Amino acid sequence: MTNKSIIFFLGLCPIIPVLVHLADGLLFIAEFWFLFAAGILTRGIIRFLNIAKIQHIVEYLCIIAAAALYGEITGIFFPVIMIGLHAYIYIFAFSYILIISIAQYYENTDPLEFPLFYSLLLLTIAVLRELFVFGTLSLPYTTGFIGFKIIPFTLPLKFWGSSAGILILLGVGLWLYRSFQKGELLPFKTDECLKH
Amino acid sequence: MTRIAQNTLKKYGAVAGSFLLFLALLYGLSYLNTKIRMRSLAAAADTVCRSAPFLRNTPLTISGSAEATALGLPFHTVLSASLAGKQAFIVFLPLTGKFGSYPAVFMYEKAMGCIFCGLAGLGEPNGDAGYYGITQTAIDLQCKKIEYILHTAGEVKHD
Repeated sequence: MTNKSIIFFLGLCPIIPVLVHLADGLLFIAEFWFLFAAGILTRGIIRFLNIAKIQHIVEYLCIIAAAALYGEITGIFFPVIMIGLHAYIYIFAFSYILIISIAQYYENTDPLEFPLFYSLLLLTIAVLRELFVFGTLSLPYTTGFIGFKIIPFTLPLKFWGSSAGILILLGVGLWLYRSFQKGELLPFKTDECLKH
Repeated sequence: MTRIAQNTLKKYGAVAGSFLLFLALLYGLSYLNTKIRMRSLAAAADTVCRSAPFLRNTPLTISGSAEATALGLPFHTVLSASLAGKQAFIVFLPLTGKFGSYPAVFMYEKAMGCIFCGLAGLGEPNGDAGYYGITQTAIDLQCKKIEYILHTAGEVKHD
């Protein structure tokens, strides 16, 4: 789980530039579950057809096709927001976390653990960023965002809501998570440094 | 034909049929998407352009989507408009800043050139783009790109 925790925390890097509003987070969470379901369905089809040799190719093609379908559906309901997110809908389909979630579905006793925690992480990042930067929480709507002012004053946390800031916070979050797992605060050193 | 061959044919036939059904669904949704989203985008463009300081007293009519045959792939959405009786185009482009990606609205008119009108879909359409982490350099770059393509591309057909 050590390597998987790194993948888990840093795996949402491709969509960090656009995961700023709660509305964005909700759209990406919906996409994650949509693609997850498509991946599970694809594995079922692969087993049905018994085509283990080209399994990965078929799986990736089906996930990309599902991403295209999701892009069209959200484009109908939220056309203005989708102009900014369009390319990232396809980038998200190549998320390694999605592939791990699909693989673990059949191998794990708790198949939905990874997807649920990842959805929670996406939601937390989106909410924190929007609160830090704008002090609002927004929902997606046909003509754009519907924002609700939660914090009436400007917080001095704008940097931590930027792409760079949130990456630093993710790294700190990863350190805290691994410390919690080990039961002690880990030093800020790599394994190689500790060996020497 | 043996039983195994028949069963295999049925299996692959079912999958091929599902795939064709999926393609039909995707095509249908894409067509629906093109028709439905134009209304919302035209409304959003109208809100942003009318709020722009330089367009406040200028009559503006957004007529619909402009068939981007001459514009090619760079632009996701182009609307045709009439600005004080002159032909104009409204271009939606995603601009990514420090705090997310937003749909930026640009207006191009031959004599006026390309002007940045604002960000669509937000509570304050003419809020400072810098507030959303988008630099003036990024805006100028897109303006120059739109001007060059629309100026040299030739005629654009209207819907």
